[in-house]
Amino acid sequence: METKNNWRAWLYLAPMLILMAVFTFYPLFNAFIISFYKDYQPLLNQRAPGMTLDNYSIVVNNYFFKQALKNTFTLAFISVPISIVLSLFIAVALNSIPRLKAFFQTIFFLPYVTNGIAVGMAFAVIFHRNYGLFNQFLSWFGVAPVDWIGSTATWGKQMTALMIFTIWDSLAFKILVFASGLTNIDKQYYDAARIDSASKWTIFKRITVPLLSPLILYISITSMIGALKAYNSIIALFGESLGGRPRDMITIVAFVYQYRADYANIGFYSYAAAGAIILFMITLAFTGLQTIVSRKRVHY
Amino acid sequence: MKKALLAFVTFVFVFVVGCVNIVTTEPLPTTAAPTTLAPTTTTTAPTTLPPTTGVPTTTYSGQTFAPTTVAPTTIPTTTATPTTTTTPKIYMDLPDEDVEISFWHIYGLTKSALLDELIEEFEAMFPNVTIVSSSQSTYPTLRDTVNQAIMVNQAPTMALGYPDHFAMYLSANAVQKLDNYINSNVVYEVTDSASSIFGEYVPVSLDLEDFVPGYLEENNQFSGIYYSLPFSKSSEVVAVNRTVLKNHVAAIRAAGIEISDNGFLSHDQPLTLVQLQTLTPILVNATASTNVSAFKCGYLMNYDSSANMFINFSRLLNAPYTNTAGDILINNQTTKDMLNYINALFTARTFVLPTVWGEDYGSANFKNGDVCMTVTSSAGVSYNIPSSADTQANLKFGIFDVDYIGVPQSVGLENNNTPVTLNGGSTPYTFTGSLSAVQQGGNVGIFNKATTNEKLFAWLFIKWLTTSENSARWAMDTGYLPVRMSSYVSDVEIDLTSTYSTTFVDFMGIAQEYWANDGVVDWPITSEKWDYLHNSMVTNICAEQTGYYRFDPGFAAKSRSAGSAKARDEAGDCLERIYSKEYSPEQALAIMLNQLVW
Amino acid sequence: MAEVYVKNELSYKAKKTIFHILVYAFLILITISVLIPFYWMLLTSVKTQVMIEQVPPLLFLKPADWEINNYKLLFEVVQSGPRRGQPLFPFFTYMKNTILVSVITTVGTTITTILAAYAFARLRFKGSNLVFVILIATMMIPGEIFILTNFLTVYRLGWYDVFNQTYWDAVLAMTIPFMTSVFYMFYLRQTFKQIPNELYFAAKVDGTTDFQYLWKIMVPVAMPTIVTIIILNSMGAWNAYIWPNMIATRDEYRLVSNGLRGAFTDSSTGRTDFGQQMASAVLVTVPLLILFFVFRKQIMRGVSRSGIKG
Repeated sequence: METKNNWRAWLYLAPMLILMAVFTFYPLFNAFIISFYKDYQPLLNQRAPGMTLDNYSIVVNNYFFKQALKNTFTLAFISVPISIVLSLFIAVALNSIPRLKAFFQTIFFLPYVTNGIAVGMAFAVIFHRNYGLFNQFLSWFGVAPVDWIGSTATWGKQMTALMIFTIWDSLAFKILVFASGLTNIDKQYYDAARIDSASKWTIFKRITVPLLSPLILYISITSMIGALKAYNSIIALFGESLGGRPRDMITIVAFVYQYRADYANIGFYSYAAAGAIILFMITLAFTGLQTIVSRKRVHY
Repeated sequence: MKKALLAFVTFVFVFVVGCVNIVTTEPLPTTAAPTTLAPTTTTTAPTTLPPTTGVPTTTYSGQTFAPTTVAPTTIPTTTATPTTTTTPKIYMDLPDEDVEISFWHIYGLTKSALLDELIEEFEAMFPNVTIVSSSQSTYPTLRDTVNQAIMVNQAPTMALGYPDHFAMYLSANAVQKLDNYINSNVVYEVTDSASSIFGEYVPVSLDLEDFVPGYLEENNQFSGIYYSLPFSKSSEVVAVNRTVLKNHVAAIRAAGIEISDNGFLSHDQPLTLVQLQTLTPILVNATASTNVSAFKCGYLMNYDSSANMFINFSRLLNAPYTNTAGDILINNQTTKDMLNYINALFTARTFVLPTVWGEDYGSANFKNGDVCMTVTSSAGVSYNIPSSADTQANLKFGIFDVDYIGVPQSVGLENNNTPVTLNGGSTPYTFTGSLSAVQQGGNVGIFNKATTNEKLFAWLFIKWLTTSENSARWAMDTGYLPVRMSSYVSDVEIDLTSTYSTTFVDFMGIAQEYWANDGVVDWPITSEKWDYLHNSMVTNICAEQTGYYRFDPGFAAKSRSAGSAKARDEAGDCLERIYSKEYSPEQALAIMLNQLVW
Repeated sequence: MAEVYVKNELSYKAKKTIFHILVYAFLILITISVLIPFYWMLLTSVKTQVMIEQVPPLLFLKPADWEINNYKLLFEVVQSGPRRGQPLFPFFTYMKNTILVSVITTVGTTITTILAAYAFARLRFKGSNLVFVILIATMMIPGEIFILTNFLTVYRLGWYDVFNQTYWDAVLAMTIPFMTSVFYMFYLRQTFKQIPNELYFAAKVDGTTDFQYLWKIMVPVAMPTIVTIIILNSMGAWNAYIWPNMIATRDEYRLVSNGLRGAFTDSSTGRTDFGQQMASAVLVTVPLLILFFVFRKQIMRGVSRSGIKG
């Protein structure tokens, strides 16, 4: 192809770039700058002269920022692997049945096409301590009712409930992607394996997973980014208090959001901006790390 | 009609003669040419002052403003009453160009209905004014929306808000100083013939003497300047399950606590914390569940607002919290002792927070019999009364009798500011005990970006909302408290429903009669007294508490410390953390401190 | 030898049957777990408050006992509060807004996406890799941080006005900032790249301009992908919550998600009416499900492709 259609290419890009310049890059740049402002007061559009790194140290020393890091990482590191493994199993199961494949696939996809807040509210009712379905279900196994999302729920219980909701919510997409990835695997690999009378587990381990590895990598990166940005699921399940006890389940985005919402206070908007920039750095680091670590193990 | 005329004259008199200062800095409407010539008919003084006793006589009656009082032509001559120094009044025609005033508040269904009535009456008096009232549903939403509007220079004309909010608006230079209106010497003549008060004189100034002093203190905490005036004020009271108490009268008396045969605790002497601890084993079951046959609840006293609990305990025990300068003072031994003591009260189930039931408020669980008493806002009375509308199966004690008492104190009324030793578990803590009841509820203020005329009519509207009569009317209907002393002794008939009207004095009398007869009254079942009994009880209790109302200082965030709104939120969260036992009092306090000072 | 073979075949068949039974059991278990929240949402929405608070919870309800009142109340006009004069849950108003916002956003996104994807897929220009990487990086930023600056931008553009905001101001404010999508651009670029270069050069020889080539050849060929983008994007407006809440000065301008939260919690008692809340959740969920079942094939194909091709 020629290289001289520079200006024409920019012309095609213009609508997207102009909109993004105004509504993405400018606010991003602005947030970056604001994260160094001293005593910024957006209501008056005033600040103290000079730039400072203090906002970052303030954020890092904030109790709830530490709590947010702990929650976000726990959620990401546990829910992402579980949902990937589970959806992989489901996809393999789907692929191995002779009938009703489309039916199951459709059902499993439903969580993807629903309003997150609406379903989250349904989960909150299900996890209700007194008249929730989940406790009722556990009682059939002789488990006494426990508080999952209320004020007396321990951190672990709240995290469990959050994980269940997060995994439920994220399975749909992964199942579909893995299932269609599986159908693209050449049948002869399996036939060869069957001749060698390899066990199903061996086939799964030695053929399915390696052949799907680029897809698994892609899905784990995008899920990781999604999990690090968790916010809506917490709002849906716990409401504005962000936990059974206030802010027990706070995440980095929720932290950013709280300080952003309180922007009328002196300096708070800068703290929110600093928190967001830190999250950006973390996400970037994880994506890079994931790509590097899996480079050896992924079979393209 | 005569009464109305009298009131009108009083009104004119007070404002013509009573004002002190000339407006200096704040520009007032210049649409009409000022004239210093006062109409001779109105300069004469009225014969009598409002027929009230024990209250400042400078009150002006709301009747004056009311459409029914129109008496534009005949103004009777009356004799003089001595007054203090007078400055020349400036007379002007009231501006008559169209003015639209936006008023943002949080009122729901019933409260909006009454507000709409007040607005209609105001618009009848000032036909060129349209008041667009809009509810922002909750205080936080209201505050956020106002902040957002301030940022783009589009604040409403006026809004309801807490001192926290006004402190924030003030830090953005967005609120209007009201002192120039309060002390204005301008008097307007209503020249619009469509007005229901055509030809009358409307002074700008407002005499504050009649307002409840605690409310004034709250509203001029910003270096003595008024940026708002009280409107929907409330306090906290304790709802009591009298049916349960009645079954333990002997034991309660044996413990040295005053109680009537039918289970009424004292209505003028609140329970002390020590008494609450004494009552706990009598009224609370050994497990956290209610024992109906033994008339014992799972917990003794619920505290709806954990933030108020923290703040009021700080006052009761003289544990430094914040001050009007905006300093965060919680890092001290007394606060630590207080939190450890509260923790012991939680453990003993003397106190409980509604979060234990997964609720924001404890009203449902109080009605269900899970807890014997509940500290609740005086504006939310009806939510704590079990009725046939509730799910009957949940009401462990059925539809029981509810009584109201004052919020618990650290010391007896006569022992204000004396040392007190309180035992938390087995650990004794020594505090200086003071009297305190939370004073809360919204104030109204004006934003300074509005036009001169908008501000003027917004101000007149504030005056209208806070007239003695309207204040009383608002109070009886909503459960809020009157902002004026004279309202409490007002004998002006007020229509509460289409068939029932009463004076505030009679309204207060309902509960007094009920209590005096130990709950045995021969009111017919259809009597409206039953409908207003609990509101009346609460108002009586609050009237007792006015002596020791304490307001929560409002201040904006500073460069390295949070504002009062966040301090409040963190205080509530702190107690919720302690309650859960997942955090020790020291840890919870450390988290709170981390969030408030950095 | 033959015996062994038969034996093996039998056990193989038995094994296979057992395996299939296990697999179906597993899938049915997952099916139940997926459907339960929907079922519970629906069930709660037709329960009375008494039934909701019942312990142990009612797991089934005969249609005869269904309490339709929760739905009726949603449509009853309230007399005060922010929704004065509107129904408690102004479903149709919100629905109309949501559909409008969704259509406009989707049209805009599709256009910007097609143009940009074409530039990246077909045209060589200096800095294309850099720009591409920068665009991809923006996907990792929490959008929260854009809000305040965007709010001020929208205000400067005249679309936010506390007192005089028109319906169209609100619509513009809710659509224009969302008319780009790096993800869809990336997705479409992959599709465009698969279209053989020969077609391009042939067109060039015929004197077709780039622009004509894009609309006459690329777009029709990539139509399935574009349809997927259109469908997926139009569902986005259903989940928009924070921005419409902030930007719409009147309740009538808001979107369906805004109707879900808050309205069913009595601000004076703090108690949530779960029945009404779930009824509104059902109302919001059902149109999406209908849309899904109508376009089931395209949606599922599209999503799976977007996942694989990434």
